[in-house]
Amino acid sequence: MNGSTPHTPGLGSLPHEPYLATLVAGSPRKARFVLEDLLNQGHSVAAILEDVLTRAMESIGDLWQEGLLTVAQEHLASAMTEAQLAWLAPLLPVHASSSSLILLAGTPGELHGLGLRMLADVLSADGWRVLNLGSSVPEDDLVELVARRRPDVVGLSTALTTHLRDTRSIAAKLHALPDPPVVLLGGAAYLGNEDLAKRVGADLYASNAPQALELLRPMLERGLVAEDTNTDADVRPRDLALPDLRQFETASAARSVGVARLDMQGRILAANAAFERLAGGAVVGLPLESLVADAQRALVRKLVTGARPSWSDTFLGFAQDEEMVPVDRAARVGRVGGEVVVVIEPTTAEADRVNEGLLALVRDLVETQRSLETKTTELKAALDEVRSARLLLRKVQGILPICMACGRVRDDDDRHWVTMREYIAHTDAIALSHTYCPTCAASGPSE
Amino acid sequence: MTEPVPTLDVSLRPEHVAAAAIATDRFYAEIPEIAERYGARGREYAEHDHAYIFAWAVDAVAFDTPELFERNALWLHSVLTSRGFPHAWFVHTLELVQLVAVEQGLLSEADAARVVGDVIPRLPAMS
Repeated sequence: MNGSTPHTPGLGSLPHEPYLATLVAGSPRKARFVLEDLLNQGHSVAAILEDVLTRAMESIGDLWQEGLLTVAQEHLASAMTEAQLAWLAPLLPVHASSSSLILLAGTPGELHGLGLRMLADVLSADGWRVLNLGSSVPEDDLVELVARRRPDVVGLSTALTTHLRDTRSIAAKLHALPDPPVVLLGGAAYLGNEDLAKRVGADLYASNAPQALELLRPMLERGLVAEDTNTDADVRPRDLALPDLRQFETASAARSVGVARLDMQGRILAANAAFERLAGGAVVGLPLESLVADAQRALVRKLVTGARPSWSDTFLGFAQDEEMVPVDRAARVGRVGGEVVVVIEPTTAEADRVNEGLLALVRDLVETQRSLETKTTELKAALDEVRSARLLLRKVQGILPICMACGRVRDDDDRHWVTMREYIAHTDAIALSHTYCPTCAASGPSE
Repeated sequence: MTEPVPTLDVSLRPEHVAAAAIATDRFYAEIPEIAERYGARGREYAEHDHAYIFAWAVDAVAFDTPELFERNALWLHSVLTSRGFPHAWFVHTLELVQLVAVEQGLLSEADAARVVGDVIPRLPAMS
């Protein structure tokens, strides 16, 4: 069977149609704008995942079913939604950190991995350590891994009813293990029918991610008590694909995502400006461990120096001390090309604050520019005035009224008409120096 | 039908695939126009879809949940008729599945009637 499967209706109240329209149009950028708008309106990430992304993908399935979309368009919509998840998931508020481990998998033959991934993200934010194996996991491999890792819960997602027999077989094998996990079943194949899920082998059944969170919370809280008993072997990789990190790194120049590279001892080799801003100051050369809260240090040490070269659990953000700004957000540790990398995403409020700050700065700059332009214009006008006055002055200074009969000149100091000698004698700029001209000198001094 | 014929799911049992081949043969013999209309690829599709229909019917009985068959049958009916497959041909598909499932020992006559036969009158006549 292709793509679409029967589904239970969405639960939420947020409109999913605008996002759906971007999926149908195949416009990832517009899809992002729609989701950012919802965040800016104050809607939670969890609500957006459940009400918008999930419901929109269900509608995509319906449109394919009705022959209105091709398989290629349906796949594009899935890929676009996965890409949106990559930046939305780190914005989920992290409520706790627990030793409780859940292993998620799609039953053999399952090609639908988006729901699993979404569930993995919300569980991780809720405090669970999540091992997401993705879609279509072979039965024996899955049971063997569960026996080795001994998770508290195994969540199996089944979209197609033809996979229920395999799910029943897996559930039976899991229940037969010496330390059996709780088996959580979910997916469209159950048609919302809890009794059917129980017949297949469910200890717990959830028809959607919020319901799964609620059902699992008591187990999570037990894990919180046992946090200090973690061992290195308990460190579980988080299901964050490598390309996600590259997206983060690429985006880090333009966005406010913090990215830092660590050496193998967990010391920060390099960090982008956003990382240092989020951490509250210069961090290069510091051990990552020194930036986090006391309660998180052991976990961070294990994440950074752990043997597994893959994504680790989320840990809570940076601690507050004299120099550091308190940061309460998710951060992730992983490895790329042998390097340990930390990625932190600012909260929406922080991003807003940064944007508001930048906006205020731009406004100030514009106002300063306008003010400078006004003053420059005024100065130019004043300069022109001065120039005109100077010209006039020169002109005025160069005209001296002289009587054509007696040769007296007009004195501007109310002396009115005076001899040229008197005029010059009263002009400050000119002083008379007594001497002889060459002709007079030749004829001898007069009496 | 320009999309490639999907490969069969690993979860489908050989007996479902064998029954699908029998039902498809019979369908093509009784309605020759289908070969003219859909060609060789259409036949591959038909076998593929028949295999699933048998699996749904068997699973619905195994899990004592007739809705498993009903929901899937209605879904496939919608997929096919929206792409121009005649409603009457789909009805006949289910009639053949009901017969062949009993003949091949996949379902009892009562179960076949309860799970498959009961759905046929509820299919919306879309084309």
